Amino acid sequence: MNNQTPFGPGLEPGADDDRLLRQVRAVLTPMPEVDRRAIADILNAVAHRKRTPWQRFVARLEPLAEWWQFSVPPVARGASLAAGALLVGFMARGVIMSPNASVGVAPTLAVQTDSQATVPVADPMRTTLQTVEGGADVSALRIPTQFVLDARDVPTASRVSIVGDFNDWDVSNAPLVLDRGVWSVTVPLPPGRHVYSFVVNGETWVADPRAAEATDADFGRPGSVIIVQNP
Amino acid sequence: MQPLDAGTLHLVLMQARQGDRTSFARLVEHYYPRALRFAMQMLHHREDAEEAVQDAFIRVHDNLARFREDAPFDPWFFRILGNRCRTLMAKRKRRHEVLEYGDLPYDAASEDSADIPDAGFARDVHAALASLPPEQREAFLLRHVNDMDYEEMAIVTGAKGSTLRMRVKRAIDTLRVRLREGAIHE
Repeated sequence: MNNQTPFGPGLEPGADDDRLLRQVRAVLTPMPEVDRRAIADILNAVAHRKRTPWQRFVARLEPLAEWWQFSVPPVARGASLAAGALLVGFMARGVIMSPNASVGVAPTLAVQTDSQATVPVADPMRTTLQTVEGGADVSALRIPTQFVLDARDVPTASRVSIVGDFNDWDVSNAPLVLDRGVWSVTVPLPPGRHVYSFVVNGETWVADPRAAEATDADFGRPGSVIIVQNP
Repeated sequence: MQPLDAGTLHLVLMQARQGDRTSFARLVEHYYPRALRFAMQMLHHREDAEEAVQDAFIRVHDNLARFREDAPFDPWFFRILGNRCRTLMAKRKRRHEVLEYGDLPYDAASEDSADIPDAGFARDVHAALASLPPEQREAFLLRHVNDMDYEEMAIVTGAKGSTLRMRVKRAIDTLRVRLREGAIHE
């Protein structure tokens, strides 16, 4: 070990930087004694390293976390955290306040109906349960409503869909499925009065033969009326 | 084990990337002394330094497959090691704060290292080095002990070259003053 001091009498700071550095380097450059067991421990730890996918995911984030901790200035970190918190707050508020929020909260329930029912139906008891479980605004509820059409009423139909004020009269929005002589589809509808029509083979509008006819049907084409009641 | 020349080191590195354990072992053998020296000079505590080095090698092992083949290995390795040292320093600081406000006596980790001489110029150098702010200490050690250029140091620290030059200069200024004071006192 070098025990000599680098400064002699009369040496001015700055004039001896090179000498100082040589002296300091001479102290700091020698390698420390290595304990072989420490190296063995590393190799042993690596050899038996088995990680879950979650641990691997966290390990991938560690460099990012270290960069965040050591390279991002504290002011920028604070500002980013505040901005992130605000963003999350706004998003959460948007989800909570959204009129459609309950659609994702309340489960869509299959309505058990008679396949030969002549009008679309909803089950008020089930939807009441929905309201309790979902805790949502009643006006925001959509009630699963089944529309059925006897295949004998449209013998030439190869495809049937339903259009109405609830799907912007879009022919492709709600196709019916043929099963044991009945075309049917279930559509979630908000409570209230709705006008609708079946569309056969994409072009022929057919009013529901077992429902009330709408006197105010749009487009001058046949339409039917359904009243979906509040639970 | 013989030191590895640049060509052999590159080959070993590539084989270790493919998952070859023997090559990874050679890599650890090759880098361990320098890593331990750096960690001890950063942390001034042997056990903490060994822990930092072990953590660094485990992270190297976990991420070696993602290391770019054409990139220099030293700055990447020392960046990982430097981060581990900083993490341990932060932990130590928190531990110190807890003990400082409690009734337990403070066992200063920075004063406990069997590898630091207890007298003479070498002791003064280590004491002066320990008194530097961690950023200056790291910059000085990378530049003047590990012989890195400023581009490599920028990769290690994430700081700009001009910032690193200033840190090294300030470190040397402080060392000069501290060592001169030590010389005068003797």
